[in-house]
Amino acid sequence: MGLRGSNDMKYSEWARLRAMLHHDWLQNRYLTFLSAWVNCFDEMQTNKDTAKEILMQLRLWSEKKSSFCELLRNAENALSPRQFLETPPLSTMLKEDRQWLGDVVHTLYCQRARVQERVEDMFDLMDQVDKVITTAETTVRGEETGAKVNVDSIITAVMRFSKAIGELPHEIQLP
Amino acid sequence: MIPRILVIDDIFGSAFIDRRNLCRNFGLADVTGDDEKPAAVDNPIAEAVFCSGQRRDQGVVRNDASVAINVIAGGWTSDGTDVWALVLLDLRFASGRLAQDGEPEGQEGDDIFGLRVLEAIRERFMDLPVVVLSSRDRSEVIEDCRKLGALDFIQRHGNGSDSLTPREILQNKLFEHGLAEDHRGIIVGRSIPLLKALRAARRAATGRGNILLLGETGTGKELLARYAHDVSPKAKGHYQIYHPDESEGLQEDALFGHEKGAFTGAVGSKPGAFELAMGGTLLIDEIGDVSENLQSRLLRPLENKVISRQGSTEEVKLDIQVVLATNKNLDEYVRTGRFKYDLLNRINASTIEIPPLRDRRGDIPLLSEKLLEQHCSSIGATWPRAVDPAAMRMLMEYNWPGNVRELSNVLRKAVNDNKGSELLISSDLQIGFSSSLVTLETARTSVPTPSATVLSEVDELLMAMETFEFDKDYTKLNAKLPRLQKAFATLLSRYLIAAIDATKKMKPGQGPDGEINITGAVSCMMGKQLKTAKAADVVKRIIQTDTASLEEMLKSNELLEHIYGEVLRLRPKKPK
Repeated sequence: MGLRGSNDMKYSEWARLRAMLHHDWLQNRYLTFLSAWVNCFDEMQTNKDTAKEILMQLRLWSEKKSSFCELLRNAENALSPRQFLETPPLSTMLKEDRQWLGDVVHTLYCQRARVQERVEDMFDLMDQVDKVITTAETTVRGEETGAKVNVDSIITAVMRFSKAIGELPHEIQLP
Repeated sequence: MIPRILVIDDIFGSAFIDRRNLCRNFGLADVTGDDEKPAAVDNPIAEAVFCSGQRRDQGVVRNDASVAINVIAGGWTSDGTDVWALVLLDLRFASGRLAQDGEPEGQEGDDIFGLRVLEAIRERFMDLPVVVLSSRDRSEVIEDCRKLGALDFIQRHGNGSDSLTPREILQNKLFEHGLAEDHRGIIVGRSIPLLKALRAARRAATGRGNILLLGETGTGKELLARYAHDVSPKAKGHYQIYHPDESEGLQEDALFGHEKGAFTGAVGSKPGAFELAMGGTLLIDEIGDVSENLQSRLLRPLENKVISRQGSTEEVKLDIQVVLATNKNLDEYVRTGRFKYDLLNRINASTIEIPPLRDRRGDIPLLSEKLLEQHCSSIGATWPRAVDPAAMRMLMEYNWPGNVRELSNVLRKAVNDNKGSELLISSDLQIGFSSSLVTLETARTSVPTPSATVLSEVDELLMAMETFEFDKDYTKLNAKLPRLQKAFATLLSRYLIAAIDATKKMKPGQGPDGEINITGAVSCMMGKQLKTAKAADVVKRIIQTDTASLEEMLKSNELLEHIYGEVLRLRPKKPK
């Protein structure tokens, strides 16, 4: 059922991961860094220390990428109403009943919430972020002589990705 | 003189890099003091102190509102000598055991811990402006924040509006909500009542509406009006002041202007103050003193921003901001029929009350320093440079019914009399009357009695007269000469009336008015016994101005008219 190899993650655990990755890191830190970069871009052209600092911060994306993949892979199951069957009072039902009922509510939820499609789109958005950041890293390292980093394009890509994560449901979905 | 803000956010517990990014983004100078390489920011809009609002102990991070409250209290004094212009408060504070990446694992309640901090701030610091710094924009959180008194929201990367940079967004929030000092350094003080009045002026100065300034005499209404102009979108336009100190006909002319031939003597056309302020701001001072007729004339320009000059039917559309000021209680004036309800209705949409000096005693040391500097510089003196602590205590304890103007007069006189002393001591300061000295506690709860106010006004006037120096620009002086002569004659005639009242002889059967004694009164004024004919000559000299002014003066006071009749009887020759 899952995408690109999901495992079972409880909603609360998934929500905590999302808060830390999306709110605490991507929105509060990474976007703030990119926005600050716009303001000190001229300085970077002449200041090696700043360029080094920018490169170091740019690379943080690569470090967080696998966690974002984990978050996306687990979104479908974490948001599924099947989780209701694993907590009281529904968890007191017979195991066979919970099995077939779980499959039914999960299928209904998948059709309505279209989480699978949304997650696929988010992987695409993530690839776009990856692409612009890799290009920027090459430019900042000075490997492309005379090239300039288009910070706005990185901000746009990151914000699109951030918006999509923010739009994922904030509670377990009813079927 | 840039404002100082406090940022309460968990990510600033240890990560300097995030703090530097935020400073670059918003244009802040990090003055927390723990970062060896704070971000270099050109022309910062504010100084920022960062605080995590958390405790770290043995690998566990705990949210604790008291940490933030203690930091706030450390930079906030109730007398306003030290205040935060604004607090930027995060909502989500990640807590719990530190994971491998050095970040807390997160716990239940982290998402809304900011609300708990906000609640604690409201309990202890009613006036502290709080703006929520968060990327979350879900409506239920916004509602909760508003209920707890948060004034606004801002995102770290500031993408509230595409057209504004994060720095501009924060600058706007500071402008609208911050308890910021007058950046021009003209209105001196950091007390909360003053900072709130400045904030109210910034909010009201939209460049379109009317602003009403209320405040006792000497509180600085003119200065605040100028501030409202300088911070408004009309700042680049003219700033025009109108005082209604002429007769009714002249008041109308001064405000509305006239066309050629509008009245006898109107040899050319002339714009009034409304037109002269076009594109800028017009201050109508002492609005409580304008005549009833003029009050009616003001309704249209204040409501529709349209005027017609006297003698013209052509309408002039006004593009101005109007500030009106008074020390009168306009509500009371409306009740007693001295002020039009309709006019009050049109002008009190944005009302700003300027605090009296007794309500902002914390500003007195700073004000004294600035005034000493000004008065010394105006007479080219280098001394005195400061007020000694005991004298400062005296200044702090006095009730100041004449407000900043009275403080300025006291210091001006002290500077004049003590050019050779480096320090001003208590005996150098002639403050009002000893009976007016009140203890700090009584002063906080009492308002000055009318008699104290009157006495202080006389005292203030005397001091102003003793220290007054004319402008050395004689063209300016020449222009003011007719008004100066008239004012001088009015002052002397009022002095005469007071002396007549003081020397009245009360005899049985003569009623409550008593018998006037002109010779006695004039002798009292001159400080020596005069003969009757000489006293009559003095009276004639006192009130002898041009014929029109003399008639106006006599018409204004029955007693004066009577005295003048008596004097003419004694010395019949009329003035030329």
